[in-house]
Amino acid sequence: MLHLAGCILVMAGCTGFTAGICKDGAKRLFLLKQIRIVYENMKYYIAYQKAAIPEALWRLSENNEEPFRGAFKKIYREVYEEGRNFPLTWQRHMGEVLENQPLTIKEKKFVLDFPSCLGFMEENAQAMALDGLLREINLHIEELEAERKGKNKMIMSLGVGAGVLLSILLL
Amino acid sequence: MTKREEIMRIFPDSLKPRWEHALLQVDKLQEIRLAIGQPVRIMTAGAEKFLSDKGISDYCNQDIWCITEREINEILQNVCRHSLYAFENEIRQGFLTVPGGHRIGVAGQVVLSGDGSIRNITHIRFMNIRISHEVIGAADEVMNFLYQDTSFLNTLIIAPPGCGKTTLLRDIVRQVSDGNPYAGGKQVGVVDERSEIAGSFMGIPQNNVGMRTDVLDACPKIQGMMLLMRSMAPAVVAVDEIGNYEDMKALSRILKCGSSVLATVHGNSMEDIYKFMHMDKDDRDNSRAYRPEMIFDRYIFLEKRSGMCKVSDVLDKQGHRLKKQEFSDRQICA
Repeated sequence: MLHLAGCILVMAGCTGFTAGICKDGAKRLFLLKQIRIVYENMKYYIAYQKAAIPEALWRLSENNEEPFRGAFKKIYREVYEEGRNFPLTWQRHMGEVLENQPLTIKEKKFVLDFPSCLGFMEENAQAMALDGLLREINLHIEELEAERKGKNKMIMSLGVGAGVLLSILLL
Repeated sequence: MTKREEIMRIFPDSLKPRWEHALLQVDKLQEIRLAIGQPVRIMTAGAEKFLSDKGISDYCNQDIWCITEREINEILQNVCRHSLYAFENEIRQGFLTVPGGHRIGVAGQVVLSGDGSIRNITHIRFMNIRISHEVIGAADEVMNFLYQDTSFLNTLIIAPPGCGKTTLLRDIVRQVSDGNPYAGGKQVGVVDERSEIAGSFMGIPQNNVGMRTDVLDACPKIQGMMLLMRSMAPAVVAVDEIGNYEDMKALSRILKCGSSVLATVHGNSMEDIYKFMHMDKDDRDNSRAYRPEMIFDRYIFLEKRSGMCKVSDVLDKQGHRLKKQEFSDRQICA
């Protein structure tokens, strides 16, 4: 009886571990889609409202959920109200937000490198510079989505398989 | 926020320590002039100083700080909040207004569009940071001449550059708007073409222009005056630096709509005004209606003596002087 309970626990543990890996992948995709929405809205504020970046961040903070909402508000306050340097403030706060997120270094760079695409004197040129970043994110999301379906099945099968194997070995 | 803090916010974090120390040593700061490769010059009331590694210096010696291209770019990016595109119109006009109403004039390489108009300014290499000097009460001594019963009289402020025209205009606007001992508050519309009267930043006036004042910022005078008449129904319309016959025609149209006008013009005398206003006159038959005496009821003349800006004369519609002796000692601004 104890052996059986142990086997079930081992199998449940392995399945749970692989489910966690799959969930991380889903969260990664969710975050990337959230970043895409942020940039799309930002593009609108730049091209049609001609809003300065801190002002656009304030408006974005009202339309976005955490983890970005709080960071956008902080960046707005520090840059707009205290006159702090935008690239450094952005990198500090967004770095803190992304620190515990399941994103790869390349994916984090989509966010952290945002200040480097600023500096254009005309709103459409600035929006187009943001388009470049958006294209890269879109491509990455498509790749992730394509590989995720097959990958999830494989990870789950491996998890269950590993659980069974471990149970046999332990028996 | 104090004026010093407002000025500090113009500079990026990397340059702040340098300025923090220097600004403590400067009294009556008027301008900061920056040019790539040239010494940083600080203009105070009546004197030019230089910024060195040790602080403020009266002489241009070896320790003087010469500003670099990177530093100018950092200041520009900081002022524009890293959003140059949002300040495209201001840069095209050659100046930016920052919180506090301070103005930053810029110069560099002009980019022209196909029709020859200025499209933008790139490679900004020169900056002139002009510190805003709002003087509350500057108009106290003239307010009693600007009303008949409780109606505001059409008024023209005349003075050479740097004599406090805009300072006086701003305080008249404030007093007309808030109310004063001679009349209650009136709705005022300000067409602030160069953002000098209200010193608006992102549309918010940084100077006190009164609670009943609507400001149309960075808008050409002629279009702005009619736009305000249609949309905000002001009792008094104020504009800075009228300069030609078309401006006079627009002021005349405002009078026909039943509002009063308050304006300033460059000049030393009434003769100067006639000369400027009729400079590009093309409609001689109808020009009489647009002559200053057909529009204005009061003329305020300003002058600068010993570095102090003062009201020198107030004339009525017929050119009669109104109590000159009262203006002898009072100062508008330094």
